[in-house]
Amino acid sequence: MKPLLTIDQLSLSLSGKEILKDVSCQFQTGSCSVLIGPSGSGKSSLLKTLNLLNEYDAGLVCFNGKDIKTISKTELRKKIGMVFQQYNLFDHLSVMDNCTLALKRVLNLKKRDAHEIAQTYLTKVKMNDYGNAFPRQLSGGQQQRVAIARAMCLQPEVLLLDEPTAALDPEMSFEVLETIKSLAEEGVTMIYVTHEINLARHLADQVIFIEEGRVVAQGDVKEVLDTTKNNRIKKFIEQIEHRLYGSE
Amino acid sequence: MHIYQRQKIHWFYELLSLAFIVLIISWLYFNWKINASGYQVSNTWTFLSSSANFFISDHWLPFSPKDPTWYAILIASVNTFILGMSVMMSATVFGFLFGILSTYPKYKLQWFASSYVDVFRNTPLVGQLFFWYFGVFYLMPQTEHIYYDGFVKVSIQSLSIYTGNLFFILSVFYLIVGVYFLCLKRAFGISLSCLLMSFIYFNFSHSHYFTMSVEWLALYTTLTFYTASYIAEIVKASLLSVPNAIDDAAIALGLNDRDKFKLVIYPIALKSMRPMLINQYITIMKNTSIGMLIGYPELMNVLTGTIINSTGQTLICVSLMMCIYLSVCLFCQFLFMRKHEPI
Amino acid sequence: MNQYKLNSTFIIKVVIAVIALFIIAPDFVVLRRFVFGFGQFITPSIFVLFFAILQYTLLKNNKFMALLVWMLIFAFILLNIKDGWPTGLMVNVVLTLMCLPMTFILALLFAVLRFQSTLLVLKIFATVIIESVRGVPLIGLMIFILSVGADMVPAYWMMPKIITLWMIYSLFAGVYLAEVFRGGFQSIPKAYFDGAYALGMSPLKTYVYVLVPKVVIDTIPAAFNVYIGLFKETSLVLLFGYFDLMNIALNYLDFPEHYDESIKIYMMVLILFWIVATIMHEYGHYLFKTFSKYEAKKT
Ligand SMILES: Nc1ncnc2c1ncn2[C@@H]1O[C@H](COP(=O)(O)OP(=O)(O)OP(=O)(O)O)[C@@H](O)[C@H]1O
Ligand SMILES: [Mg+2]
Repeated sequence: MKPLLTIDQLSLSLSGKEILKDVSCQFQTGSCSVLIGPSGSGKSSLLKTLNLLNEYDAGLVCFNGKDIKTISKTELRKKIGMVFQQYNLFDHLSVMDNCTLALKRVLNLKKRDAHEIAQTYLTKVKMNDYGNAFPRQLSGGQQQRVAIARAMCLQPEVLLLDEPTAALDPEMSFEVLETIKSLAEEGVTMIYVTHEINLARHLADQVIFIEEGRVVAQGDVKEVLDTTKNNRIKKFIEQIEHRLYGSE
Repeated sequence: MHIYQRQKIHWFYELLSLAFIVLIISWLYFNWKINASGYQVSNTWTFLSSSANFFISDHWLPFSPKDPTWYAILIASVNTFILGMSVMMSATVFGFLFGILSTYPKYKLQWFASSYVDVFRNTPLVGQLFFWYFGVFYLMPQTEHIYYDGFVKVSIQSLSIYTGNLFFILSVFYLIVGVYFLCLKRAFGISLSCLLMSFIYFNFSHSHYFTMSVEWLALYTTLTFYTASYIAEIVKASLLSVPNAIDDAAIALGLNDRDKFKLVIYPIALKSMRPMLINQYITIMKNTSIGMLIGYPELMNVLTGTIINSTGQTLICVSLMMCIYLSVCLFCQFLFMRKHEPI
Repeated sequence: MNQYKLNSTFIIKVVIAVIALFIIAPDFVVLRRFVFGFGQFITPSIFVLFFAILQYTLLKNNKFMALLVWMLIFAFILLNIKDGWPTGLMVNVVLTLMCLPMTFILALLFAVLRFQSTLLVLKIFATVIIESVRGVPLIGLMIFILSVGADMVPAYWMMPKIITLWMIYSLFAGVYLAEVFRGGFQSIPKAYFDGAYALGMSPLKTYVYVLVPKVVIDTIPAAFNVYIGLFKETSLVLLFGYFDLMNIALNYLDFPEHYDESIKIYMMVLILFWIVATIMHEYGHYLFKTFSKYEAKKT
């Protein structure tokens, strides 16, 4: 089977600083990939690059076998949705307007159709009662779910999720996870960044460990997380688990 | 700024917009050329050095109609400058007073200060000027009255205050200070302005009275009250914008109310009000031009009123006026405005 | 959610001002002449009607209708201009109303061109215009337009005075409003661009549908300060010989039998200006409260 998204020797530098070096990996259609790695290792930058929000210097990124630089940005971004670490909702628009904005202005749908689509996705993330609320009136978890719904409205083939559960309490993160799972079952390819090992074990088909802009390890969950021989990864995982369970 | 893509030069659009702008400007220019050809006035700069042939009623430096026109313009600029400076000082004092009062915990004082701001901010400057000039200062006695044994003389045209030899003493004082700084070979700005002040004061010293014309008084009062209301608003806004946390921190350090204000809140507020205050000061300089409406000989009046009437050199006078105001404004901005100042 | 409540001090202030106006005014005819000039009553009442419709469209968020109503107001003003109209306070009000949309458009244009544009030529052009209008007092600008600028259009155009005034004031206020908008654009976080681009929007669409609405709502209070300034500055139309409120007062005081009333008359003028400016201020407050619902409540 041909992979949906391939990254080949990608390197990126922002304002003169090298952030990604020689990153190569592949994402299969309908798979769920988890990016983990310490803070500041370049995970968010990698995701943004896949959406062409960063312009990379060297390497090749192919979507469906085509170089993404040859696809128009609008087309690419319609196919690849993104949920940001800080949600990036538009504060001055209501939840409903946030979701329908792209439908109305990018897909040029009628207002009523846009509303219907937005309503279905808001229902999926259990935010259908909050259509008229404004982002600042919502809690972090609620905003996160709205952000997911907004990205899903365009019905992308790939969804990039940047730490979707970072700001949430365990219960809330469970809810968001349920949402993500149900999306995964629909056949959406997921790439998400997280610090939670359990979550990775639970969902991932593939785990990619990044440190200082390099892919250190890559493979299925067992390979990378449990039977790894890399000391650095062992230590990182130990520390995370220590943080989670050490206080007991 | 927020432009996300790498900066590229789009030559086609650059050239297109350049062509568009050039087209508009040349269209305006040719229209002007056609229309102005009917006037039969040759634009020359020679009138600047020929004698002025008009009076200037108020002047801080000696002036007679035989002096060249450029000197008359200088006299008018000095008038504008001194008016602006005096307004600046008094408006700052009043503005800070009212601004601090309007954040003061006593309700009545607050009410007083904020209604002052409300009244003077929401009425036009020209109306206020006419109110003071035609309304209030018209109540001054028609003939000259003398109060306090000749200490104050009041008439419909002017207000005179007895100063004795004060100006002579001041002039000598400034001369000494100026020469002192000049000998030290630094602070040339200060020494030059001291010498200028000394020169101006010396011109007053031959009379024992300091005389202000009623136009000057009206302008001074109007601009002071008007600008003070703006400054009060600025002061109030920046005092209120100091975060509560800083207030709490100061209290936690054990400062009393006065020290808290003096050492913590006031310096922070001053930093955030600085650019707005400078904007106000520039605005004062521009607002002095309403002196034209009551015939006070400041720059706008002399340059675009009197001189145009006597020589007919409209184009040169108007462009000179625009250049002078523009350069003063830009210079002040360049001098005082620091961008990206951390607060 | 922020809800607008009519400020009781505002009502009290205005009522007191109106009572003071009636006490100060020498007689009712003078007051009427100051407010409506020499013209008829019917036009101001049609204005009020227009304004009510405008307000309705604004609340329904129907931008197209709002634009249409503005055009209607504009056409109505232009059709009605004749010798006796507008005069009195109506000059100031009408001029301000005419300038509102144009100022807004110019300011948006200048702000985007100067501070957000990548085209160097346009950037320099906008900067030169903004700085030269800001650096010269309004009187100077008017003298320039009267003496030099008037020759810069073909002589056969014969522009009505009010159109000239409209252009001057729109330019003047637009430049100051541009500065306000610049502040608004600068305070927008980068996340907005990321969010909009990730949804597949082009930079132009991002500006039109996301950034401009936010900036406009955020800067309503500051923008209304500019508009009030514009309204106050319209008293300078007496340089053009226009019979606005100020000029009518001056005219009235020209007669020797009115000399001793000058304080009263000028107080009347100031109170009239003050009332309109205060109403504008409150209206800005109202707009901000109704349109900035998204601001989280302060706790
Ligand atoms: N626009 C930028 N300009 C310069 N450097 C940047 C920029 N954005 C990110 N960086 C740098 O790139 C590195 C990676 O940042 P990135 O946000 O991708 O980290 P991350 O892996 O997502 O970390 P976290 O887990 O904390 O979110 C950091 O060192 C950061 O300082
Ligand atoms: Mg990150």
